[in-house]
Amino acid sequence: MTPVNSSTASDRQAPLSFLLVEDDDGHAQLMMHALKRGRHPLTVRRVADGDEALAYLTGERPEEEAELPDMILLDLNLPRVNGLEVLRRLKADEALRMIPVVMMTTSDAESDRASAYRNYVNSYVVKPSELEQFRRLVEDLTDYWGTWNRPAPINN
Amino acid sequence: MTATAERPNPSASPAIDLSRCHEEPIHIPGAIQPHGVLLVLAEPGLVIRQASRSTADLLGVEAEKLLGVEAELVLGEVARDAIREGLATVGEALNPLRIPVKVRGETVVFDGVLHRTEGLVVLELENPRPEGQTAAADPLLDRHYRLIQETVARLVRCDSVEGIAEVVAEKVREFLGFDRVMVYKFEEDGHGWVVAEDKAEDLEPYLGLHFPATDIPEQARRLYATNWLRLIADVGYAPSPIVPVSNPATGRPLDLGKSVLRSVSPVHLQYLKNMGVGSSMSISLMRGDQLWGLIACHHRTAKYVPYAARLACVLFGTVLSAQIVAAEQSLRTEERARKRDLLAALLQDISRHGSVTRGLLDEPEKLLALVGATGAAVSFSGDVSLVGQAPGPDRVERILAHLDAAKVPDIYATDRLGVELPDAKHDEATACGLLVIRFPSGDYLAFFRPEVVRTVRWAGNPHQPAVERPPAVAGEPPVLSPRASFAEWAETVRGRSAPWDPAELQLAQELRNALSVHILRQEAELAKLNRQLAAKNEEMSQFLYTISHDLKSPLVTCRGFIGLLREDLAEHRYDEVEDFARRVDDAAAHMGRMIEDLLHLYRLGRSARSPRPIDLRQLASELREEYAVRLAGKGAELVAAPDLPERVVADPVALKRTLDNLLTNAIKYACDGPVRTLTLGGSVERGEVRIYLRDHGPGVPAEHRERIFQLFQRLAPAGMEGSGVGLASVAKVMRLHGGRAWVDETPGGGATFWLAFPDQPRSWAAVGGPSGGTGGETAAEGVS
Repeated sequence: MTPVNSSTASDRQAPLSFLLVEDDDGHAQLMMHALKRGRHPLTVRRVADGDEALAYLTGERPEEEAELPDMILLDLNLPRVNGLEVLRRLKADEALRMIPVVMMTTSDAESDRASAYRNYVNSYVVKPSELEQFRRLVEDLTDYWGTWNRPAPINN
Repeated sequence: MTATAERPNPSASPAIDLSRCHEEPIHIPGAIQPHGVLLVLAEPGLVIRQASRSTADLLGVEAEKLLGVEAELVLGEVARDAIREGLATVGEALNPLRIPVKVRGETVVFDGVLHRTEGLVVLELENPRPEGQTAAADPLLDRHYRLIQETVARLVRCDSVEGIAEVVAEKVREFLGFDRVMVYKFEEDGHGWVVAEDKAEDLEPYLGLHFPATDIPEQARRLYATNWLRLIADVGYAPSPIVPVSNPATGRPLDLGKSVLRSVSPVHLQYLKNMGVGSSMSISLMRGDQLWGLIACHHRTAKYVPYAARLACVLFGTVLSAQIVAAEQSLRTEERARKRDLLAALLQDISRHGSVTRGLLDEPEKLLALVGATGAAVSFSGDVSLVGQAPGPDRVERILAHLDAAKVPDIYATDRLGVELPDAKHDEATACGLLVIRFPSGDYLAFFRPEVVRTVRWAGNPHQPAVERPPAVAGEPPVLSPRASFAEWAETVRGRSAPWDPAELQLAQELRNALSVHILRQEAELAKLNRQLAAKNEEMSQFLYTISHDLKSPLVTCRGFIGLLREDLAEHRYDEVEDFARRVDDAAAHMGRMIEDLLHLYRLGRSARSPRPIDLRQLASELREEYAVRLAGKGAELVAAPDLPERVVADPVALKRTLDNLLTNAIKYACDGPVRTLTLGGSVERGEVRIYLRDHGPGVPAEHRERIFQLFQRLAPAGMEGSGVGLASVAKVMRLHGGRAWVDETPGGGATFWLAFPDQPRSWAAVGGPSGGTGGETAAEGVS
């Protein structure tokens, strides 16, 4: 659960910082792995459930990570406070609502997709099971949010 | 109006307007039958004020010469004393008086009949005979006695109106010797029919024939209700007028309502002549103060019946009336009982078939007999079925549509559909009478009766040419035409069925009430099935969602790490291989657990529950033993609280599985704090047994207390995950038991999981002994 620094690609821009909210250790490790081997410089902090995620975002952060993440990768099916509820609370918060949230889930259900967008999710993606595709997804995500659609700075 | 004007001579006026019959004042005909004498006497001197012209024949004195004369001078002292004695007696109990009179020098004995009317004394004398024959009355009296004794003895054994009437017709004919004796019954509309008949063999039978109300008009029926016996000794008689026409004291014609010699309506005489009757006698049969019917006696020739014998017949009629009332009463009671049995049988058929339509139509005769219909239409859940003589389905629907438009009540009956609903284009042959029972659901039950003209055997009915009335007496014009009278009657009842009586409507109401309950029950069952189906659907879609979503999660892990593993192997890096392989293994194992739990959950819905009493204390100690190692591993203990109910009736396998789920969760998540005691307890209240498992762990936040019983809703922190099915299984098991599961807070912190089993036997004695608990592994296997 240590932040990962990647500096393989050009440093034209400051590295993106990610918050990964994922209860499944395997999924989390795969995600970290894919992010680590990607082309973009980035940092990742992983939390394991909704409670932890909200606590982290609302101030209970270690001192060295005083700043909020640029992006949130949010699993839908979480223990305690599920992903949708985390999303709802984030989007109800004046400051936190600016952080793009990408819902990452195995569910392809219409109802889940609709609930997520109804609660102002910024992106909804279904986790692919094949490793190559998983990698490509992560690559595309970092490409898109790191190059073409950079989040607005919210820390001041 | 004078009495003369009201006495048209039949031979002089060939056409008598039948419709005017009811206007004829038959109680003041101004004349009597000539076989007797009528004298009107004024008290106190018994002065003769009016007399019939028959005095000339029978007393040898012209009527006019008797007026103003004291009766004593004409009849003699003996007669005068008899009259005075008779007048002093209450009522007319002394009738007949024995009145000896000197006529042309000979002593003639008359039967004297006294009554008072309008403040006058009326003396009627009949049955003149020479003095020596008086003893003949005694054997007659003896015969009266025997007749009544025999008849009553036979009547006691009769239980039907027809049976009683038959005995009476036979006995009266035997006693009086008439050619024909009938028991004739009036129906509500005034028409009547022959219930029983005893006759000379060569006479046409009238039994079962109906006669129009005009045959015995209303004022005649009224008169018959007060004067219970009438004799027309000779239909061919010439009336003997009373002189003067008006009584000097009252200024009015004499009221002959109570007279025994009263001259009858010429119309009636003609009617009798038409029927070939020479003499006639009728005795009223009363039900309370209502005229029920008549004993009608006909003879082909003239026939006189002495007063004493007539008196016996009146007595006879009284006895018969009482018997008839009793028989009708018991018939009604029996009929009611029979109809109730029919109704009960119909409802049983409905229950047996589980369908209103099939039950009602199981034996259509039952349904028709219930309300005395000839046809019916049954429409439930949109299907119309017809039984008996009913109009076609289209016509039935049209009639119903008209009833809807007319906003008639839920139970509607008419005996003249054509009049009530002229647009319904009903069919008189099948549906002239209608009784319909309707339900808010649109279902209905319609009963039909045909036009009554088609069901009655009518005397002179043109549809029944075999039955004809005897021809009119030769030389007399046929003023009363049977066909004409039938036509008139038919006009009044055209388009009518037999009326629905109140008892039949009552039964219709009872049938409706019973069917309403059935319809409501069927609707409720359907609604319940719908709810169950909806719940099943919901469960099934939840299940599919789970398979598509949650089962994919370990799959992602498996394939991801196998990919990583392959890459590492290709690059000959081995440091993480062991870790990756373990991840794949774990994910696959997790997936296997989920599949197993899901299958179990799915099977819960199909496995037949077999509840039996379970000893909870024994179950608690079995659990303690089974979980000893896992409890010890956490330094925890399981105790049975004193409030743990002794027994619960439940499916043992399902209950064990449920407690396994709760215990596993508690050991896993709630045994890390300072207090590590898990308590099994409960309560018994109003037939509901509750069981709880209490822990002192972190508890369940209020907002999650419902959610955790849903499929794949986990609260456990990462790394401690279960399959997400356990509590969903618990909830489902409790639903299958008709109960529920929930969680609340343990006082001082922690979670208490509750299981409620409703509808438990209140008396444990009724359940029998405890089953001996459940055997762990065996029970678990028993699920599948």
